[in-house]
Amino acid sequence: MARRFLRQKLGSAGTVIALALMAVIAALPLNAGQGFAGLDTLAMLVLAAGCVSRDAASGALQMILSRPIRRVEYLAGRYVGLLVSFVLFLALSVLVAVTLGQIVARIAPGPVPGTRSAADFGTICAGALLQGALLAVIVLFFSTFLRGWGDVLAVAVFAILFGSLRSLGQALRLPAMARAGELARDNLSPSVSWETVLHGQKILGEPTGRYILALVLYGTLAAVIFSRREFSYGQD
Amino acid sequence: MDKTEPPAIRESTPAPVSTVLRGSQSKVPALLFWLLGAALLFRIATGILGRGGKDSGAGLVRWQPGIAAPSAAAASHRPVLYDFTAAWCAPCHLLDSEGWSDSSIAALVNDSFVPARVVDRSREDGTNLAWVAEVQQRYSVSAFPTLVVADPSGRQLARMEGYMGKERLVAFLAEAKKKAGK
Repeated sequence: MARRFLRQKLGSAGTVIALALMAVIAALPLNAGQGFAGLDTLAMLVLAAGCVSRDAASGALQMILSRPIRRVEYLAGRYVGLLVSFVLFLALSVLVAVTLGQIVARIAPGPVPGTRSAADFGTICAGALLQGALLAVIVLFFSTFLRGWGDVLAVAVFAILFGSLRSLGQALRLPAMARAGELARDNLSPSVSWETVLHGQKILGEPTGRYILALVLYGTLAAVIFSRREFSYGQD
Repeated sequence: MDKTEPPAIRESTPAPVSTVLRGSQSKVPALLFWLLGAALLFRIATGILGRGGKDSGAGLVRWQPGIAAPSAAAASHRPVLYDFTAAWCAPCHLLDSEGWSDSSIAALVNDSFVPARVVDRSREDGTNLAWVAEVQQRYSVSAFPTLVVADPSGRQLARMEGYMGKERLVAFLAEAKKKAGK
């Protein structure tokens, strides 16, 4: 299933061009020590969009499920495929960043500011992969019951909803509303300072706990919903 | 003639498609639920640890309790570095993830200052803790993030408002260290 996902994504010229462009753009903030500047999130959304729903809509899912394979195996395969393709994107970004850095070092005289070590790139990529793994499972969860691009749309709507609830609560001086928005964002879409955790600090911190719970919860919910759904031709 | 009866052919009703699906394809591994339980326990444990104060602050900097920072500064003969911050402040998060998470910056802060975070909660809770309000008023803090370096007696030595990148942060810390005579 993972190989099938990779064939689907890497076989699409549009997706490959979009990812390559993003990898080239990401090389600039990477070299400046600013991480992926949100391009990792965008790349994951491009990769994960419609990861299950499009298979269901095209009828491919029904064909796959006519074989003796468990539905959870199909989902796990899609998830692994997503992560592998995301790793390819991260590797390409670093490759472009390193190449650009070397070209600049040859052209510019004297020491080049902001040159990153392999360890720096490794930490940034590991952090991006861990955060991407959560985003992937959230999109996968929505993709098990929403149609078309509804999965990515749902992720965007939820992010806006949590943010606006918090801002609205602050603007209206309603601490309870602001707190509710904050709680929803922190628990349903948690973010971790991976650079800190990967340096061996605060591994047992609250954000790590939230992250692991969210990751497993979305995965389990996706498995339960997907295994109970009825798929028929021409309905999705 | 052989009188023995041929073995009866038992008619079996084929299982409905939905039953077949439920039995073979649609089974969710119990491992997932065990993992969910373990993740829930881990979440509770980290929540308790976090409330115990072991998870305060951000990045690699070893933040001291703000209320006790002046006495810690007097004991160690180092200036206090106050980081005035707020949960809603986006540049503060950037400072946390970029500045305080950089190992060289964190080492500089940990070695040369008594770092203390002063978190504003007025927007969320409607009010601040008394010591937070008092420190904010003493250093006339009106924007976030604001970094103030003060000697153990509380006299302001250096100040930076806003976050303008790692290089500016390093320059500010070096300048403040020089002013403090360390």
